[in-house]
Amino acid sequence: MPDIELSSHNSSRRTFLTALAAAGVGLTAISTFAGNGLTPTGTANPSVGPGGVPSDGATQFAAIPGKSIDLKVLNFALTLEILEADLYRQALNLASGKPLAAPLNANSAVYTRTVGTGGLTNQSTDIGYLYLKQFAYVEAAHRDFLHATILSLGDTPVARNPNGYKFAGPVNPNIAAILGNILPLEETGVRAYLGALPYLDNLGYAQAAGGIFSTEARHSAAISYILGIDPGPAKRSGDISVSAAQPAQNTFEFYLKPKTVLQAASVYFA
Amino acid sequence: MNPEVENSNVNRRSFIGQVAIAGAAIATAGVLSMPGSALAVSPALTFSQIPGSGDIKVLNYALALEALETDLYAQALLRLTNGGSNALGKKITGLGINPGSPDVSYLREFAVVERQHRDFLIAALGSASILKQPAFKNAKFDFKMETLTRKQVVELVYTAEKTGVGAYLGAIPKFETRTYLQTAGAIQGTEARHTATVAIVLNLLFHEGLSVAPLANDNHGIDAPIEPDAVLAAVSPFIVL
Repeated sequence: MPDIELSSHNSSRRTFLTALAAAGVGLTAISTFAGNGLTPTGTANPSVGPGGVPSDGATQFAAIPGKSIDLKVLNFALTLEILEADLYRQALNLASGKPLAAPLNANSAVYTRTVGTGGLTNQSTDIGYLYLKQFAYVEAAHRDFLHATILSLGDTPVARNPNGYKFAGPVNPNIAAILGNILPLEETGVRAYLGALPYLDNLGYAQAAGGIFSTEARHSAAISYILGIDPGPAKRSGDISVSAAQPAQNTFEFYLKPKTVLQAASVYFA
Repeated sequence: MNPEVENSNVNRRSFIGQVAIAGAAIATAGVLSMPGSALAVSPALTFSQIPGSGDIKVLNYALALEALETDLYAQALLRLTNGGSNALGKKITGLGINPGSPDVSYLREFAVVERQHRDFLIAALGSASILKQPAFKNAKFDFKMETLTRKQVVELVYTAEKTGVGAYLGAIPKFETRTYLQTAGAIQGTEARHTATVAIVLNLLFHEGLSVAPLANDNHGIDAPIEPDAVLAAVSPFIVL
């Protein structure tokens, strides 16, 4: 198998800052466009103010520090990425016969699968393990990127939970079970980003957050494929639709409000 | 089985660059030779030509891409299965691929989704829709589908979906308000799921070693935006006005 180049997760901020520079667009006008069939979250939702920005940001992000709503959203995202990166690290350790507490090794080549398939084909197992390994480094890169970005904006990034993180229950040591426990994290990540997106005042941040959001959607689809599940998006309990006109499943991503996400994430806090 | 590992440098810029500059080739994992249509709009469309202003302009840009994707899926399925004619009246001979194979079955599923995206935007835009403006209402798409192999068909779909992911991100700063940001994001996320799924299909059928998502050393594992004019330059060789 060729070497996987996964190990570089330095936090250069260049791309992000470039995105910010490109985002010189302010809130100039309320759309002239309501009531013609497109029913965004805002139209039917009294908590949405001018310009489509939800007006309940203070409530939704009350538990999250930040000097501005944008920094609260970024710290919200970082809170989730720290959690995801840590659980991926644990999952990769479990799948590779290493102690759960072992840190993510800078060299991905040290990881090889030691656990069984859990009923997947050998091919799906191999690909699933590859994704587990790749995505573990990607989530760590997301975490480091957000941490560095918040620092660069002159604010304090949230810290990891002092007691660490745990899966909601015991995870059987096989690839099907491990990926089955990872998938809800990714799917929640998708919904969390989409729910947080309209609170961002700066559209450059929205562009970066959107770029993370869609990688979580890709991860969700890829893991679903390995597990023999439709790539989605599929509505789950509590999911909110972006539009009352939503035609069917699989057409639009669903989202969750930030408070709901934080509540759901609390089961993973040790 | 050796799952082939990613080539993280299969990036959109190479796709954009190849198509826009040479007008002749799309680089995906391998190089897909993809001549543009002789009838294609020239010079390439630019964002400034998209009708409307502010949020409506962005939604019309999205609609243009969704219309292209919808027709791409329709023609791709004709080519992979039993053939037919495209909207330009070109005959597309079917390759007779087994309908149960993953390329045909996923393309069938995603074709419906892209059509729903397109129809949603048409309904939303009403009379402001780009597809109702004189300059665009007769727009058709020519992918030279009748010349493509099975692998090239699926690669073209993959490239289009991947470009769609970056295109939505690139359009975000063009929004005047946040009103449609979440809805646009909800569409973009499904394109990301399609991209990952079609990448796996290509890897399984043709051993392509495509990444399903950006790796950690590729823009921090974050999907990168593509500027609207770069996207339009890339897709214009397929657009017949």
